[in-house]
Amino acid sequence: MADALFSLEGAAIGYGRPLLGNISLQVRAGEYWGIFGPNGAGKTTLVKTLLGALAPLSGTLRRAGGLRLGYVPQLSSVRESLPLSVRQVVELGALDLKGCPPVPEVLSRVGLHDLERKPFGALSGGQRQRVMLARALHRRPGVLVLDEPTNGIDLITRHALMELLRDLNREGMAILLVTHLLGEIGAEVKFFLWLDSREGLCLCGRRESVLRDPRLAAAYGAGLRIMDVAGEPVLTWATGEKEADRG
Amino acid sequence: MVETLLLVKWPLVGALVAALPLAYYGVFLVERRMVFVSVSLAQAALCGAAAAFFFGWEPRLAGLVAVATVIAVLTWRSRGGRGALPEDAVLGILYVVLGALSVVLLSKSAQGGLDEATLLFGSMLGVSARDVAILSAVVGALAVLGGALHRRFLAVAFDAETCRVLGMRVGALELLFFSGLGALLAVAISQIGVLLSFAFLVLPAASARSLFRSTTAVFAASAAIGAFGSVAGTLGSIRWDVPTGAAICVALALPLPFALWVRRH
Repeated sequence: MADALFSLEGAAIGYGRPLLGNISLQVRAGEYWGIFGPNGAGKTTLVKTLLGALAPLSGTLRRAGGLRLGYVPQLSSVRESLPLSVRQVVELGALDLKGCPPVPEVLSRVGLHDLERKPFGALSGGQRQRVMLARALHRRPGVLVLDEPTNGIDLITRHALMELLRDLNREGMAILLVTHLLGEIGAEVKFFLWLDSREGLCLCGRRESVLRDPRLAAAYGAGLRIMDVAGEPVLTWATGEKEADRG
Repeated sequence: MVETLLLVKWPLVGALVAALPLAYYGVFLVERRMVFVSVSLAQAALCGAAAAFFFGWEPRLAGLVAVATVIAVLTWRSRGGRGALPEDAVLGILYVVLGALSVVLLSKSAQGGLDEATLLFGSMLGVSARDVAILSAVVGALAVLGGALHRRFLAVAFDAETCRVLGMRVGALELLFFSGLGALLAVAISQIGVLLSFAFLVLPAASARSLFRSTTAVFAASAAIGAFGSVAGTLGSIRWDVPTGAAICVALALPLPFALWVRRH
C-alpha cells in the first residue's frame, strides 16, 4: 500500500477545547475522500488540522515531505472586492513555487480561458469558484482539498465541478471534498469520513463500511435511509425526522 | 507667488512624501475594511508625541513606541480569538482614550498652547528639511519592504485562510504590514496630524477604487490623488489664506463625488 500523504492518529481537534476526539485516518495518493457532516460538525476544523494550519490538541499528525497542496476555501472567506484580475488571483496561489502550469492552461481546464483579464469581482459565484479551483490547480497539487465548494452556485456549475473533480481523481490526484450535502458524495468517492460533534460521531473508512455502520442509524434514527442502488449503498435524509440541515 | 511657494517648499515636499505611502496603505485598509485600525494607530502616535512633549522625550520615537504598543495589544488580542469586546469597540475605545490623553498631556506640557487645529492637522508650516529627510528615510525603508512583500500582502488581503493553510506566515506578514504603517504614522503625525493622516489613508483610496478595477490602476490613482491633494491643498491655502492641513483634506475629497458618479454609471 502506498505511503500516506496525511495521517492523523488518535487526534483530538478543536480551538482550545476538543471538538472531536480520537480521530485516526490516513489519506493516500489517488484516493477520493468525502468529509461529510452537518453544519458545525467540525469538518473545517478537521481539514485545517490535516493541512497543518491548526495543531491537533493531542495525537499525531504526519504529512509526506514535499507534498504540494491545493486548497479551495469557502468563497465567503475571500475578499472579492480587492481589485484583482482572474490571472492575478490564480498567480497569487503559487507565490515562489516552481514548475507550475501556465495560467491559461489551468483556466482552460476549468472552462474560463477567455476570462483571464476580467476583474475577479465582476464574475458570477460559479465563475469565482472555478477561478479558486484554477488557483489550486496552478500549484500542480498532489492533493486537492475543497471546503464546501458548491455553496451558493447553481446546479449546472455544481455538476460540471463534480465532473471535473472526478476527472482529476482519475488522473491520480488525491481529493478531499468537504460538504454538508449528502447528494454531492457520489459513487466515485471511495472513502468517507462522517463527522458530527453533537452526536459524538467520527466514522472513517471505505464508503460501504461507513454507510452501513450501525452507529449511523443509532445516531440519526429513522431519518436516515440507506438504499441499495446497483449494489452501492446510497444515503438519503428524510427531513423533519430530526433536523432539516443534516443534508 | 514664487516667493510664497519657496516658503512652503518643505511643507509641500513633506506632504507629498507622506501622501504616497499613505495612499498605498490606504488601498489595503479600505478594501479590508480596516480604516479604524489606522485611525487608532494615528491616535496612538499622537499620544506618544504628546507624552514626549510632557516628559521631554523625542516625539517621533515616543510615537513609535506608542504605536508599537497598540499593535502588540491588537496582535495579542487577535491571536487569542474572540475577546470580551468586539474589535470595533476596542478600536473606538483606543481612539477616544488615546485622543483624550493626548489633549490632557499637551495641556500640561511646555507646548500647552497647542490648539485643536494643530492636534488634528499637525503644524505643516513648521516642517523643516530635517523633518522631510527623516520622513523620506522611513518612506524609503517602507518602499523596500513593500517592493519585496507586495504580492504577499495582496495574497493575505485576498484570502488569509488559504495563505495560512499553504504555510505562509500570515501573522508575521500582518505584523510587518502594520508595523510599517505604524512607523510611517509615528513620523508623519507631528507634521500632518491625525485627521490629515486619516484623510491621506482613506480619501485617495476610496476615489481610486471607485474609478478603476485593476490593481495597478487603483494603486497608481490613489497615489496620484494623494499627490494632487497635497499640491492643490497647499496652493489653495496660500491663495485663500486658509490652514494648509484643512485645505489639503478638502482637496483630497474633491475627486470623490466624481469617482462615485463614475462607478454608478
